Amino acid sequence: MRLKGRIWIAIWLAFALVVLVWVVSRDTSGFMVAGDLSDLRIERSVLQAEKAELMRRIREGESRAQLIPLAESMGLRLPADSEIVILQGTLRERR
Amino acid sequence: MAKSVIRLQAVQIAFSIGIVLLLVRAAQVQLVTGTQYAVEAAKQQTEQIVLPARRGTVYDRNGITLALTVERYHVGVAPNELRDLESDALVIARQLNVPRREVRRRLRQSWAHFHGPYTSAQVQPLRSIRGVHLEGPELERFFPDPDLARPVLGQPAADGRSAGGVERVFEAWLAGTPGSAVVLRDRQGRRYESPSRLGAFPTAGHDVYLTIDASLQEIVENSLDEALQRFDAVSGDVVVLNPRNGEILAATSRTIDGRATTSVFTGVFEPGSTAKVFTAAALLTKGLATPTETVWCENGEYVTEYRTIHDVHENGWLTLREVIEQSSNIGIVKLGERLAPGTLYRTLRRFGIGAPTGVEYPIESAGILNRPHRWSGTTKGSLNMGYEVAVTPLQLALAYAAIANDGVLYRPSLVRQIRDPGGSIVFEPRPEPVRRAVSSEVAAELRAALSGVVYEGGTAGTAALQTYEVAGKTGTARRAGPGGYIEGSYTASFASLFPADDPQLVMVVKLDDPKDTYAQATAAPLTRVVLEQVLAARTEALDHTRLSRSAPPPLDDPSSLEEVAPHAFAWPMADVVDSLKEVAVPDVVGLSLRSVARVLHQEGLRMQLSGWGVVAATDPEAGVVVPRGTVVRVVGDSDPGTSR
Repeated sequence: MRLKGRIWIAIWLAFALVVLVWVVSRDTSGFMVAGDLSDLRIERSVLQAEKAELMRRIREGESRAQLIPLAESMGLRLPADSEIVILQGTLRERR
Repeated sequence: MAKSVIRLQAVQIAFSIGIVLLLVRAAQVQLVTGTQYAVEAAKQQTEQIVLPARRGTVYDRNGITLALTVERYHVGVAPNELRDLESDALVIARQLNVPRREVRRRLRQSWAHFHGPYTSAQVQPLRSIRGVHLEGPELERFFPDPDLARPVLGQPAADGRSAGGVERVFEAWLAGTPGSAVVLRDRQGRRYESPSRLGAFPTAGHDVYLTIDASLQEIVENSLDEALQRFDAVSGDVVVLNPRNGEILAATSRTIDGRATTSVFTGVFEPGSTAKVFTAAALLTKGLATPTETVWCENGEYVTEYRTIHDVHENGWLTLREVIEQSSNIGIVKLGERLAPGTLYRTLRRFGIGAPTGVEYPIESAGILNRPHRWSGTTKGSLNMGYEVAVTPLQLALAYAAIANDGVLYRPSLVRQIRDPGGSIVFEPRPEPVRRAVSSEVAAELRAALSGVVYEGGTAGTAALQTYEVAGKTGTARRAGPGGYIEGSYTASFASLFPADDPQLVMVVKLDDPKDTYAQATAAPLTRVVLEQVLAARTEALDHTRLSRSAPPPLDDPSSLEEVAPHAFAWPMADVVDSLKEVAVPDVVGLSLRSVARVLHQEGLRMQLSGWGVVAATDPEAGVVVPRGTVVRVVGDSDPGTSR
């Protein structure tokens, strides 16, 4: 059976449409992946900023400038060296 | 019919012509002007960008972050693009920490710029607001503790500012290699990453682990700040070294107005009496004197050919060791006369005086030590007393570290490790001995003399601890100005070894122009305060196992310490009076080790374990009266080898 000209045109148009849809969908998914990558990079950057801020707060919280007034308010004081006793262990025998 | 055929043929011809024209145009676009259009399209849709490399992080010796790189943004707002000006202004004000009124005022203009810079976390909620345009990211150096060791760390180069400190020395390691990429842009100019168009990956910089101990650094910085205020000193320096390998554990230089400087590496001063120990080293090395050899100290005044020399005390006969302990100028000058100029010069050079130390820092001073042919008639005597020679605090600390380290001088080190971004160690410097400054026997003699300075009626009783022995030497030297020595202005310094019998720390404390002139009233108590804080801190700068085996100090009358060591600092210190009396060893047989430790601690006794389990015996036995600080050996009923 011989196909008529208009059917050929329809087939070609359909083929072109499929190719077009394929190209556009590929392009779209590429942009989506790129967008996801960008979001991840931003998220990582946000987490790093939060980590840096937490480190700053930890250092500040651990600093003697913060701890000493707190310790004083609790009635604590720095021990004299005579009040610090370091346990002295004997060396274990070699087997 | 014929008419419709003609019509159909006409349509076919027109369609064919249309297709031919389309093909011709397509060919023209593709083949003739294709390259030009491709370039224009690429310009519109893509952008070549540099991918900055993450700069390496700087850590202290224990892995505490001292400097890292974070992303920062500036924020621009186009008010006419905002959907809801009031609510958006509220979010902007909250996130950027700018007063609402200020934000509203700026949003009345056509373009509002908030310079910041702001962190990623701050700008994150603004990304979804239409009309907010982020500028950046820019990589910026961030210091979690902004004041800690800043002159040591320095800054990377930026905005026309040159780099400094460790950031400069290790620039090649820290910087990394930038990458490049082509990013896609949409119609609105937004960028999209395109992995397929990545030119080169950026390589992150290496991480640098310093020898600095953050806890110790904080202790010395705070203590120095407080001492400067208390003693009304213009400025001061503290440097702490590990004598076994030359690692710098802490280094700080501060002024009374709170500025941090680099003078621990670059500032030179005449060391005064702290240099007497080098003359003693030369005498002992050459066999020109013995520690017990006596010299007549002229009752405090000695007239020489060139000048009259005074001592603080009217000393008579003193041994060489007592000359060091009493810091007798007359004694050391008279003994030093036995030395040939070349011998004294070479000894000083062997201790590293007058030469750069080679520390990994961008700048350092070599100090001043003239060659003998340039000496005047007074130079040898001056050198014996620590004048006509200038050292940096670091040089002095290294020289004392050589005494602590059985006579071997080490090159100082600021870096402990360099690791690649994956965490593998790529560089780990080994301790670098420079030379033997003196023999181990001479070093031991010098350490004994330095211990006497603190404990045997010497000039630095104010540095003494009760349970661990400190050795050291005070130095009080006149300060030089443009027109010669300044009347009433002194540099007080104290170089110390801790503990004396097995030094783990060598510390040099220097105060410029303190209100209380003498080092024994200023630099020595500052040393004690730092050591007490180090003992109480969780720092790993001290090896507590080694420390527990150190001998207690030779105290005949421990109660005298409290009188001579004024605690200068805000933290309320221990009331040590009650803890100085002698105590009877408590009966702890049958108790668990934990209980025994508590009981002995409460009595102020030190404890040595032998075995495990329940206590079977103690040495000394229960009831024996011993001074506080005495080590009590506790014997458990189980053999150590059987424990898990």
